[in-house]
Amino acid sequence: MASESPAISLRNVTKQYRVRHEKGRTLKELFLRQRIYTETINAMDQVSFDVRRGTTLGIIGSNGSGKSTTLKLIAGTSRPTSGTVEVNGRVSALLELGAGFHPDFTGRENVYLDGAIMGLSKQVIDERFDEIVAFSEIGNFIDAPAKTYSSGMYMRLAFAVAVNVDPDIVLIDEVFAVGDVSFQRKCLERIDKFKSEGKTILFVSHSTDAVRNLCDEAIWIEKGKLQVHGSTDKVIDHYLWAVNEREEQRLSDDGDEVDMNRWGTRRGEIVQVGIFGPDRQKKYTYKTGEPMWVKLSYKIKEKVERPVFGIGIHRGDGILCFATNTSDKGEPPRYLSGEGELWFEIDALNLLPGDYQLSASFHNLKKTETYDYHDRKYRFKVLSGPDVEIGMFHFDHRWPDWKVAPGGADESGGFGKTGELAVSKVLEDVVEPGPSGLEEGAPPNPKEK
Amino acid sequence: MFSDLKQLVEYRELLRTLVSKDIRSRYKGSVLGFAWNFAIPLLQLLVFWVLFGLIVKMAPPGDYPFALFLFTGLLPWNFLANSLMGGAMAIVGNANLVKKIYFPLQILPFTKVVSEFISLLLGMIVLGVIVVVFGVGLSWYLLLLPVPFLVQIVFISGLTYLFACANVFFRDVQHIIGIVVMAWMYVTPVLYPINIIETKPAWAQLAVHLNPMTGIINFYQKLVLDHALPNMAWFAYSAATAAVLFVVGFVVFNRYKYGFEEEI
Repeated sequence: MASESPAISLRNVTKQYRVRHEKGRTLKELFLRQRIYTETINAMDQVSFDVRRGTTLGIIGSNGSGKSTTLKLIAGTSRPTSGTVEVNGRVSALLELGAGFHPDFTGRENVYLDGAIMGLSKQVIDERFDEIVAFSEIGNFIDAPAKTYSSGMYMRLAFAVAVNVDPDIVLIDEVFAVGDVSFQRKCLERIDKFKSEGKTILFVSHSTDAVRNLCDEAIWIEKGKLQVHGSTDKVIDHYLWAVNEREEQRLSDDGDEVDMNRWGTRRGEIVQVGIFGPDRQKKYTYKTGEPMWVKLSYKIKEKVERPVFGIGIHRGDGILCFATNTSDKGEPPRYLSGEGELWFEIDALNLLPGDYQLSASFHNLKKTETYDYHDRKYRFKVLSGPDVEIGMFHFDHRWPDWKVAPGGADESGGFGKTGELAVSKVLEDVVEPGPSGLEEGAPPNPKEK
Repeated sequence: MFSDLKQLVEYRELLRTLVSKDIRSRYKGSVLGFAWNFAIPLLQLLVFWVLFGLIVKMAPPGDYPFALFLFTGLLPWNFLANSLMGGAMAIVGNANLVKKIYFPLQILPFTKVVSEFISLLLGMIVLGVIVVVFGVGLSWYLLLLPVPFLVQIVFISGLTYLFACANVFFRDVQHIIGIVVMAWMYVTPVLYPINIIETKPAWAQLAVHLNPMTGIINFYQKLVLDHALPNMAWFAYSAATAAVLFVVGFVVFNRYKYGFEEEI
């Protein structure tokens, strides 16, 4: 293995799909030259990037941006229209788990079938069979037909086969969506093991948090074009920036498009919501404790009585962290009309790392009429600071009786993105459904060392 | 072409697994299970025997019941018909695999051919028992059976690759193929002895002789029933056609296989 050559190398890769408005092409069309209207879509447009061996690369982008196409090209199931894709090493795709399964066969038979399709010899599967079954936690069901499995069991078994392919390059596409929490934890641990074994990993996810915790670097693809390739933080920052810009653009366009996250009578409208740093520059990534300012711009068509503006902050999974409105400052003005701006200033954003969403509301005091409601339309992110704290909020705190060893834990600074902690952090941030990420045996406080 | 063939060899383990999946899944869930592989040829023979032995008296070309003649020709014919009809679906019917996992796609149509060939072998075992029962007996000529086996596999593979590929782009193929196979059977000496076409119009004779399956089916009938060598000129023509067809089918399939993923 020559370590200089990259594990994956894409050069000017373009992938076009023809989209037809009729499902199959038929002989009749061919002979009668009935060409049904087709359009060409560039799923990828002149994309070039390299992935060095042993790197974990995150791929982010909105739906339909070309993330999956990228993985397909690397997996080899699809060929680029132009450009070259070079892959050095054996690829295991954890994208399409259980594609080789046959529902009438038993789990045991399916392990051999799926393994064979992924390129494992019978001998190798024989050797790893017990390990696969143990990993899948499927127990006695291994000899029952796969059609009797729950979808979770099905995926667990498929995942167990896929991770045992012993790949050089692992492609992962949102596998966290399956299984219960303990299995997801196992998957993440397995991914971490891949990392420690020096495998090259490509990780596609909607969760910028998962990407941030697992990946060394990231690319952001949008409309088939590579936007940014660089350190995870930088790429996520760019990505969030663009997502929010787009939301703002959508607001200012104010078309008739249906927006599930916005409702209200629109007698008065919130026409713009901006998230700013204290220097009044737009900013979408924060560190715990930094100031964050929100600007609401409103426009009122006919004057409204006793108006109240509100702000809400939700965690990525929808949990409301904080909400307040202007009525906490006393009686609202009797009437409001015209246009204006309203700043909402948070001195210290004491949220712990994670993805967060902002809501803005405009309603009357008695809440009998909502003029405009923007439900979780704006996204921002809190990045981890120097301390290890998990959960949702930071509280100022002390351990007054505890003596810290000289040298301190902070200099070692080792609470980055690798090792055991990375796994537990991802779990807390992404997987854990409840608001309280704390559980027994929570990660050690660095100051206890 | 050769690298594509080489992959076929490299992935023989997968081929073996897929063939065994195909065969085992065929009668999965049925009471008789694997026994169906023997029961079906036997039941077919029974129907022929009732129809042509008791109701419509047909003169066999040799010293054996007409039903036996039919059966000998139908076994290899079914090998062709089932391979083509199943093979046309080899890509379209495995969309899940084709779209999602990388492996040499040329395995899929060939899987179908191999699994149908195994059915043929099982049918041949039944036939072996039947010829003894009907008093035709066995002979050293049966040792030559691998020759028509090989030629027929090559021939069917070529066609299956073509149909599997064409069906991806034109789904009409899977519908028309049943009719084509049926019409084709009538210009093949399966339901009638080859000698009766000498009294038929010249175009009919030409059609039968241009048909590569004629030489192959005739080979089986001669070896099994007459214990004699077939007309080697016909057979050489069949073998040559098979080779050409295989090259064409295999090359075309591999030329277009990278587009399959988008079309299914």
